[in-house]
Amino acid sequence: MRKLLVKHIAIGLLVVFGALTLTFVLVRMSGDPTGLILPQDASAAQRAQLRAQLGIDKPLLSQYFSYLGGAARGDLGKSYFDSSSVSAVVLRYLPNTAILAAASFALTVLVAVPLGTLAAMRRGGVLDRVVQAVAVVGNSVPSFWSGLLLLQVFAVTLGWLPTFGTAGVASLVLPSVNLMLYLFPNMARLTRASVLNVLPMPYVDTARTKGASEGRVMTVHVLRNALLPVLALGGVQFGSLLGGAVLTETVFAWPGVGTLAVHSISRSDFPVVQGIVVYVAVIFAVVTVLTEVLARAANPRLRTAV
Amino acid sequence: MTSATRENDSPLLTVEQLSVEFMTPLGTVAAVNDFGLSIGRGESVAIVGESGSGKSAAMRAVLRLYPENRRTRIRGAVAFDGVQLATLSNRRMREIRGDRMALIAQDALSSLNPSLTVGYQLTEALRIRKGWSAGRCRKRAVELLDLVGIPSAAERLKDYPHQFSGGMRQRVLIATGLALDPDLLIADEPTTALDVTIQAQILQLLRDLRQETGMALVIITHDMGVVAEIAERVTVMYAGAVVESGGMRDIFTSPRHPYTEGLLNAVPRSDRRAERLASIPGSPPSPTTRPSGCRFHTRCAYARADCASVPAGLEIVAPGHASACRYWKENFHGAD
Amino acid sequence: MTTTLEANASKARPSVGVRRFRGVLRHRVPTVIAVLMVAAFAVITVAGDKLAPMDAGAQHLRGRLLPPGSRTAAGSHLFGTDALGRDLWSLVLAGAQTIVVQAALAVVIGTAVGALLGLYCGYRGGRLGDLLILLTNLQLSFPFFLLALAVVGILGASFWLVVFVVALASWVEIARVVHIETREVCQLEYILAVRVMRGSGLRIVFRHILPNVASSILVLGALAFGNAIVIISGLGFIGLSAPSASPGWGEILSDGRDYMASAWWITITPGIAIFLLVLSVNIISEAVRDRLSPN
Repeated sequence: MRKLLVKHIAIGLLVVFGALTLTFVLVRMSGDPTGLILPQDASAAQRAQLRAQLGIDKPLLSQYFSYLGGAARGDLGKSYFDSSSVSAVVLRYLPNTAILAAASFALTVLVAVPLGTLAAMRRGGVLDRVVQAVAVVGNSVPSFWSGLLLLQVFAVTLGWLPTFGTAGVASLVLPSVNLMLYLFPNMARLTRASVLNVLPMPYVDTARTKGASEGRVMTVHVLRNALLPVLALGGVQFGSLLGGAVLTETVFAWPGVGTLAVHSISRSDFPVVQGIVVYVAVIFAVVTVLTEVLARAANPRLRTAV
Repeated sequence: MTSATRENDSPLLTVEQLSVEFMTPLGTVAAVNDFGLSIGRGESVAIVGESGSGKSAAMRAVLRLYPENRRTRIRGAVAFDGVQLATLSNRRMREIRGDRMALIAQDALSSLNPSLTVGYQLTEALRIRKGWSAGRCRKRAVELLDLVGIPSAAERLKDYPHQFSGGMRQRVLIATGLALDPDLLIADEPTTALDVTIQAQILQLLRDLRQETGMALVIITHDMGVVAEIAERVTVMYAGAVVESGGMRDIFTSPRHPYTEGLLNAVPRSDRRAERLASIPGSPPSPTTRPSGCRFHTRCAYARADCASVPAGLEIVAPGHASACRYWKENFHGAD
Repeated sequence: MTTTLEANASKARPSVGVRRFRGVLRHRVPTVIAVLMVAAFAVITVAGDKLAPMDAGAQHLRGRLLPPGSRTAAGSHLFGTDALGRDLWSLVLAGAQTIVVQAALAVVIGTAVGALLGLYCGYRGGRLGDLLILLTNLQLSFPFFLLALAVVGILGASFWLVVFVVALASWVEIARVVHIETREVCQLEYILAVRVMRGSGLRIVFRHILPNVASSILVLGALAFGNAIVIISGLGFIGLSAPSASPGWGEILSDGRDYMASAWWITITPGIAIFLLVLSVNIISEAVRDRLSPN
């Protein structure tokens, strides 16, 4: 088991490293930032001074290594916009993304898993067909459009919920529901397929022959095994929520890293974008490793296998 | 062969005219047709037949294991220890199942939950039924593993099914069936997936268990060798129906149905000089398209004109011995 | 004495034939509609601006934010007008071209690359296969949209950059699946036989292995197309679309945000276009998958 964990950690590190390198290359490719920071009529001397300040007058490779060194310490440079520390800025927005991620994920699991299970139990029934149809439709709706629709109906027209901001639970509702709509199809389908896989297994029958009630059969025997792949998917989905909810955050003006990324791009504040990518890579790697650990703990067959 | 006197001579389980039908998109499948069986306390009965003969389906229907939905139709009368099972509530049926009648399924690897420890699964029934404490369950689990011959029982309680070898796993599966000390144990192909040497061990185990606990045993198998090893009485099934039943010795020495004869001839024997293995020509009919009349007539060496049109029913050929071949007298000369 | 263990009340059931037909019909109808829809979009893509009832770029500042069905000097506005008085229906039609072409190019490139890599690595096996898996794992270890955002945002949106980035989104899944399936196919006896008889070579790959994995490639390619549309319009929504004569679907939606209270039709129409196109493609790919799967 240790071996596989090490493998995952290694991949995680590789990804972070790749993110650091890729964004470094991208930013350097984007050209001279002095044009973005200084006013148009700045003199050549001023530009040279700024370049020295930013450290971009040094050779590329040494810039790269000092960047890496800084990253290891948590220092990801300074924002072009207001010279504040990139790390500080990102960490200010990150908690909001985390809250949204947690709420959305919880909502998704609470809705998708029971529905997927029920659909599998009554295969071919009305619920099953509805769930499958909703899954196909749900996969086809772009999240920014569904977000706009939700806003339109519930906030603008009906006025039940606020249109933006983070004041209180009410403002969390719509963005979480939107993300849930996005994640629901895959999780419900996987749950359904997995339960369908497990239901005909002989050991489920064995439980019945021992006199277990249907309820016990479903929870202790069926779900315990059927939810293993769902756990793996959940980990991936949660990880992606922590870095990928850009569109939803934008639609609902939710002050998370997604919104920060969009604003930074429009301001050409590339170091911040860089910082976001790096942070998200780290978080995703951590979530992946944790999911692996959980998966092993939950599935005895993986524990003794290599 | 008469059995020794028992305290209570009334049969433990009687099944009459059991039929099991499944509605599938391809048509109605009659898995079991007019199945009958009677088992006394402590008796050992084998149900023999090829795959698709309905032997597993019949016993599962007896235990009411099929989900009660529109796609399944089960008819017939089943009485266990005098109680009619058909009319029992689900709850009462669950109480009988596992407690007084246990079923052990075929493949131990897929019949045991891979995510639960063996210790838990052994005593799950006890936990559900009798509300035993964890400590008491543990004790019983160790007893059971000892009973079926698994070494270092106490340490192995926390192991998972995949950590046992095939033969050991089968023993564990048998142990789960024994947890509540059932009066009747139904073993569905308990030796099929195992090596010959392990098979012998398992059969010996079952024999010993019967000795120790006095439980009745129904063995479902396709292997006549297994039947010879352990059965007192035999029921032979073909295409969903019983074609012959009787004492084991009777059936083996004087079979009264062409199918039974074919099965016996197909067993390789070292005392006979034969150049090739005799096998029954043709193959079993699919459950959706069974032959008319006597179902075996298409493969029967003795088939006559009206075998194709007139359905066969069980007839008594000797005390405790019945056959579904109408021409049993003519075919088997009544000799021996 | 028969006590009935009867588990159902026998109802009269329609014959097998009727039941089968109903089942088929239920499946066919959505697929047929989906195919028609995709065909419609194809036509629109090719001849979009000619089909538009009016010039998409024409602004009528007096006829701004008109609800669907309004008439102006230019004609009848089926879906209303936007903040600059442009006919929404024409805008959507015009926008279809860029996005569909970009998505199609991206998917073709991504699918080709992914399939070729998958085939080659699956065929050669060994370290090469492990390397491919590692690469795909690496890419999948990061939320793709954020990556796309960063790349397009920092380097500036251009037609081919968007195509390139979306192609990146498409190649991964296809490479993985094709790789696994190629490996499986290579285990089949007859491939071994062919290899022995003819020696190894690309010929074997294409002649014998490709047909086996073709169906997966098709299905995944179709799904990738739907995904591409969503990514491109998503990028457009946050302002990262290639400069072009008329706004893309994502941009129209984004512009409509400011007018949600007053002109709800701006946010609905392009969204419906995206939704219908992606839904149709998804339905078709599901139908193809069902049809071509061995069971």
